[in-house]
Amino acid sequence: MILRDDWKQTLPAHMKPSSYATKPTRFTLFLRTFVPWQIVRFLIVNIKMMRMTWLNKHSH
Amino acid sequence: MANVVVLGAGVAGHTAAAFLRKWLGREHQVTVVSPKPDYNWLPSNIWVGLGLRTPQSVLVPLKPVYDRVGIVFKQARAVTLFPEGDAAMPSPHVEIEYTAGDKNQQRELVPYDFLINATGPKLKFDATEGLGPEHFTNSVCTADHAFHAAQAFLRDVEAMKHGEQRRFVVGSGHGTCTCQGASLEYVVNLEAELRRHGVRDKAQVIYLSNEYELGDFGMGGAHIRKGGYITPTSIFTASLFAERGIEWILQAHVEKIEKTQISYITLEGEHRTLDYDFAMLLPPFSGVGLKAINASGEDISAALFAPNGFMRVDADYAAKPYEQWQAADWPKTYQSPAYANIFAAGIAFAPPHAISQPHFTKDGLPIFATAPRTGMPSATIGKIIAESIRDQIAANGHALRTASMAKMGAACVASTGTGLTMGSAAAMTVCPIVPDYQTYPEYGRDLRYTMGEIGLAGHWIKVMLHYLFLYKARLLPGWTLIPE
Ligand SMILES: Cc1cc2nc3c(=O)[nH]c(=O)nc-3n(C[C@H](O)[C@H](O)[C@H](O)COP(=O)(O)OP(=O)(O)OC[C@H]3O[C@@H](n4cnc5c(N)ncnc54)[C@H](O)[C@@H]3O)c2cc1C
Repeated sequence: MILRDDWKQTLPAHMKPSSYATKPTRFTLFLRTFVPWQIVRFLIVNIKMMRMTWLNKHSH
Repeated sequence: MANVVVLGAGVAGHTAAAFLRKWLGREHQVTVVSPKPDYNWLPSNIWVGLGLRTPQSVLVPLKPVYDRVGIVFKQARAVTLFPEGDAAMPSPHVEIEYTAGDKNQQRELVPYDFLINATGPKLKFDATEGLGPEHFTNSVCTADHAFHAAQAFLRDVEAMKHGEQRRFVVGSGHGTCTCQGASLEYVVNLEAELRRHGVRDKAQVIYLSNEYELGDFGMGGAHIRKGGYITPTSIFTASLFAERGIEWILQAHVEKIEKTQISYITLEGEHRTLDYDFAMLLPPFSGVGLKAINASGEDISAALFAPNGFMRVDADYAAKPYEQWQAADWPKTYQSPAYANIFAAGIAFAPPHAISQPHFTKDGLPIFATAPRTGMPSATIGKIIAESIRDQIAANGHALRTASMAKMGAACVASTGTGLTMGSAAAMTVCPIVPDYQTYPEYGRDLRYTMGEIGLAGHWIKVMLHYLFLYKARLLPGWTLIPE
């Protein structure tokens, strides 16, 4: 299939919804796969999720 | 001796049966009725649907597990409930139909003292012409569907490697779909896979959804405290899509699917078409179509089930406008108001209403995401029902246990790409799932417990959960230490 230009041409790139979205900076993208930082995030996110399961057990 | 019968062996039913077996003495019997031989860890179907895992790796055969722990397993589907008994059997029972083995297609009456309906959803592909694996689109709702989706996807990847171009459309196959989290996860993973295969430049990837806004997920979106701002999930999701070059079409009700074309109507009532090469569109859900008959042989299905086939429980089902919806409308004990010994867990219970604000075309056609019941609350509900039944059997006078989705939080880890060092996932927690504007007037949620972030850590958590929950599903030593 040839990519239909109709879709692409309906809106110029700068007017597509995606052009209004926030985009991550290079530094943010770097942090997302920077292993030492991600180890820290792994621990923090796990703690937050465990806190959530604790809350589910005790909030009723 | 008490007989507890659990219909369904998904997250909710399997959790309930496993805890009941652990807590009840051997003089009591726990029976699971489920039409498939396996437990399916559904979140990992996303990976199966892109050829990253085999179907076997997300399935756990139930019979050996249940034989080991002493649960009776009947590979059958429940057909009709007789909550008052009938002439054939005077005590409450359920009629089942075997789906495999020597008794395939034979019917049997299974007596119960307590019944848990955890039959999950019926996948209503027939709601949209041309929808589903038997017609033109793919699905990841079962491991088998996901396997076939992967084959189609990989065929397209091969064609692109030979210079062809492809358009991929992923999302909702109907205006009343739920489970957008799964579609989102699939589309982002699909995009990552196209890059890994080196064919991203040959592909256009479109997310087509009935959601009013991106990041709605059927729970009216959420707000996340992040980077010094309180950010709606619409921005969070749009950012992810923009970064990945995924385009989106929202507020769409898919009306018809042909071999290469999707026809949909927008909330403004505009009829549009979209050509595609590969589509993975989820179906809308309903209850599985159980019937109920009383002692005089009358059909009392309408008393037990809502019109969409899900089971009525202790929710407030009075029809009221969106502005009057309250956290208190949501059920707490999941007990049937008609019969005290019947409960419904997970997707099988009828929500009192949607969570997202309903939207209709000027002709009254609904186009909005319906209420999700994700894995974590489904398992928690299964567990508290098991506790309630345990208490009632022990006659210890304990009130029924409660777990309202307007109090409970949910954690969701949506994979956005795989690989031990280059993978990523969006990890989100939302609390409570159903916004409670009385308690949290501004956002409806407790922002201390509502968070979202994307990164490699999320991918590690997703992989960890895959192995932990499959371990737990096998009921191997220490399984109770793994939270719901
Ligand atoms: C692709 C996909 C990805 C998902 N990812 C996530 C995620 O990342 N996180 C999350 O929290 N949630 C996720 N979900 C949602 C989650 O899987 C559901 O919330 C959960 O499975 C609901 O559990 P359940 O037990 O109610 O239903 P199900 O898991 O659907 O189980 C229903 C059971 O009932 C059986 N059954 C059907 N009919 C009958 C009958 N007539 N008689 C007896 N038994 C019957 C079925 O065979 C099945 O065993 C995902 C869903 C999908 C489809």
